[in-house]
Amino acid sequence: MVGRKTYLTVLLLAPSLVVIGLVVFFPLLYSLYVSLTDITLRSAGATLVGLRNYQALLTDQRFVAAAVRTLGFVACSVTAEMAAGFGLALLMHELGRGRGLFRAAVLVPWAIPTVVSGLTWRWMFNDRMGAVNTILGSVGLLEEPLAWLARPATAWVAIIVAEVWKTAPFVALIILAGLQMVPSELYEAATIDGAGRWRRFRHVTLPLLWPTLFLALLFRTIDALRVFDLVTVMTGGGPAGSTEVLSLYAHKVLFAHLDFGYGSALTFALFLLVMGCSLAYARQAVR
Amino acid sequence: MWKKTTIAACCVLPLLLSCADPGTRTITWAVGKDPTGRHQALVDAFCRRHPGITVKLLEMPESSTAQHDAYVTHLAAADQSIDIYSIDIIWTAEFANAGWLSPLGGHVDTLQLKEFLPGTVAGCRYRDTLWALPWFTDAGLLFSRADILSESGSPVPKTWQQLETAAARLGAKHGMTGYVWQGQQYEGLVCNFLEVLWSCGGDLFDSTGRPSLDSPEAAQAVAIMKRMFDGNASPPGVLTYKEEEARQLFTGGQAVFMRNWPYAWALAQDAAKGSAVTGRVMLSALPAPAGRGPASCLGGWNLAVSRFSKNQADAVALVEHLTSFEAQKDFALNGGRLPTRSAVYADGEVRRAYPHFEQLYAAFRTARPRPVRPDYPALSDEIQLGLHRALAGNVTVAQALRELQERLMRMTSPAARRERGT
Amino acid sequence: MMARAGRIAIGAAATVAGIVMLAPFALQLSTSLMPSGEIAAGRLLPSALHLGHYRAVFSAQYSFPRYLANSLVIAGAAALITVLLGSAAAYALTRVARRYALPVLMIVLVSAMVPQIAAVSPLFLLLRALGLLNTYPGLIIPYIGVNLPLAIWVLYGFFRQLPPELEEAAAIDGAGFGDTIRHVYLPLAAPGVFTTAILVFIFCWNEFLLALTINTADAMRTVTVGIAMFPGQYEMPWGVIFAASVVVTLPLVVLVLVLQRRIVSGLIAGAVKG
Repeated sequence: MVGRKTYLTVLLLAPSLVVIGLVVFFPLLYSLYVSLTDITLRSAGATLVGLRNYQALLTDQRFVAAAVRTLGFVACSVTAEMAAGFGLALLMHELGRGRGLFRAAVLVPWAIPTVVSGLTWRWMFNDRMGAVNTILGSVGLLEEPLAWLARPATAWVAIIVAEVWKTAPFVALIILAGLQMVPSELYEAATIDGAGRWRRFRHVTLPLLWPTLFLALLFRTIDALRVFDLVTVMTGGGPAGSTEVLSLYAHKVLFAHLDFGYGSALTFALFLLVMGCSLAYARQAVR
Repeated sequence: MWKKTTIAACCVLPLLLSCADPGTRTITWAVGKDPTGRHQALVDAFCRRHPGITVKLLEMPESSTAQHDAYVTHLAAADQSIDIYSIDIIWTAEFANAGWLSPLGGHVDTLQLKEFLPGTVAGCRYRDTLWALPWFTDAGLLFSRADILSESGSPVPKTWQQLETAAARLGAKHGMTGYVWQGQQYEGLVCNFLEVLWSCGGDLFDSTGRPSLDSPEAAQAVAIMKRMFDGNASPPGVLTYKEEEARQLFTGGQAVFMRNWPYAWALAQDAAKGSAVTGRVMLSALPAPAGRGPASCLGGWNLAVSRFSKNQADAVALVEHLTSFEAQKDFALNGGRLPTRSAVYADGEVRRAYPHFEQLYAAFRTARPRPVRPDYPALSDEIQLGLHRALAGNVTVAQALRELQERLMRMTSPAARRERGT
Repeated sequence: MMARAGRIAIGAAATVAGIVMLAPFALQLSTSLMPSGEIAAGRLLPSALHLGHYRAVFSAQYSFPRYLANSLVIAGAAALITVLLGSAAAYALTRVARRYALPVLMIVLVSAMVPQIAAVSPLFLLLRALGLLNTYPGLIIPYIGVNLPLAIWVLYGFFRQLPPELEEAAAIDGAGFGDTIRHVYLPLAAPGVFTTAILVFIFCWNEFLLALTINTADAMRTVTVGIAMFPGQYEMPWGVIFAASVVVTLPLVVLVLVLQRRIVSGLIAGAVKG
């Protein structure tokens, strides 16, 4: 009996672990190795340089600034995404008529290729031709056209708006699935007990939904820390480097400077940062 | 027995296929997509002349960064599947230094190099070796609204000061923007800056190879750019513009002057592509400070042969064909690309089709490449950041330039160069 | 009375949220139907429907239908296999080998954190060694690996919500392992499984960097790289890009909605019958 159970476990788990090992852990170990060398692929061979690339990280102001910026971006955008996604999920769940249409509307931002939505938002935030200034101007909120992407604060607003718009549907879909899996008997029981909408939500839905919320939070955090396409397309790291996030800097060092050793150290540092941030509440989600 | 034979057949068959016809060899050319479809025609012409060679066309997105990422991945893996790469001129030294390109010196007749525009050939040379051939070119130009200038009786601005004054005045008068250029933090900003810097008599490096952004010319150049939007000649949003943002404002009839590459000319003449200014645009060289000559930054693409190609001789032959007079003339007439050979500009048929080539040629003859160094992308990245700090006003111009100079000094110091193998 | 006010409030909130979410797409749709002159003039709505940009997307210069088919095959296969493998793993972790759940989930989670740009070069080397460059599996396999962590975590969460008594009851009724999965688990887990499949599918559909480097041949290209073929070195033909974006997005959304109705309701109906 024990034998059969072990056999079944291996059978069920092994395929996933093999693919993950091949596609994710092999590249990870490979880039860990490269980060310990001085490969720039300019020189023929690689010399192991130990932790020198990692020492360099600590004194690299650009790296430290990018790391701080990335964390700030994640804090702002993930909070907003969770709130927006939760709201959308509740609406999808509660809505009677027009439910299909609304679901389609929510799905659309997530379905548009990121590069295209980045281009669209960049265009919408253009100072002279963009729809954002046109609309804000016509309702009287803006007197002068605003060059959104030319100032650090407003550039961040633009990026976060685009990011929240793009990823709130992801959060919403996960939470909606969680909502749908709350057994309807529980609702019926609560209704018979005379609980109103709010109390039903507070005492029946929310406790059952916590793990799902954590899950959405976890994966959004992991993804937001690695944000790349949207920022590249919208600002390219400008103005004056104020939106240069970690993956953007790592990409420049890896692909533009062809400094594979230091670039790999940067990506590995990013990986460690993601791990530090997310393992903390990963346990909450499993609990 | 049967099994063994099958296995043997399976092993031998590919070998047989690959050498079945010793006359048929295949080379692969990776290149940015050509919307006019001329690449195939150029290749077909080559194959007609070389019946033994098949050419596979590998078209990539035309975006420079997308191609760079894909090519670097292939070349870093010593990939043999691509024989010829079309590369942005600023990658030539970088790729050559990485050991990814074959030197062309032994194959290409040095005499024929004289027939190319001098700046384009300079962009293919690194460490006294020729690593590529110039394929098509590009250079920064000033686009003006001829109708607005003649109506107000203003001449085309010759100095930066005239441009600033005219742009602010005419822009305000017609309720549009004055002067648009490329001010986003990206490679194009460096081109815009170098044109101003060179026109002031400065350069990124002095004759000994030391960075020289601590020079008075550098301060003057940044001051000229900064005054453009401080003085209402350019909108503040110009700091977020790339080529297309500037071009759309200009061809939409919402800007009086524009700095851009020649691609904008064709779009400005094409009402079907949304131009509101057809027939009302004129081209000229960019301005310079009073008493100095203009300067233009060279863009464009080269063709290079991969060091990992198994078919070097055929690859070189195709590169020579693609950069030949006939091919460049065809590409100019039917594909709208700008030739790198002087003779094409003088050709009667080309002249008739594109009268504006005359102005272009004047700018191209003196256009200068950006520094041909393997660490250029890394230096450019720092320069973009430093310039944007100065322009966006986070710090004073003097401080931004001082810090930029320090960083460039560190990056080009002998120790740093040794470490990077340059 | 209260209930009715609540319904109206929900309807109003949904309308506003729907408009906000759709606005950028509506702008794309409307722009894709304008001639270039009107785009340049900054209009919000076309004066008349203009299909030129859609014709350009499907012109012979680009193999766009082929790119669509490639993306459909690659994203479809990757999503299907990911959900199958993920369900198996999640089932194992919730039912068969619960004590391995925490370590396995943590390892899987760590794998979700690897920055993509670090993985591109090693993956290229790996897939070339396997001879999978410019093939469907060349993208399907990496996509499965990259998306499995999300799938396993989401499915683990959903499976855990299902009461184990159901399975025991089915076992007592004499149902086999396969029957239990099909008639007891799948219907109950359907919303979760389906959501996971959609998330994975859309991720694969939208992936760019790997698709650009692994499948360079025109015949193997996916839609995101296909859209990137439209901009010139400098020129950004908005009309064509937006037309391509609409062509890529709209069928996807419709497909998801139709499938959702069919599959989810089908599965739930199956449960009632079973």
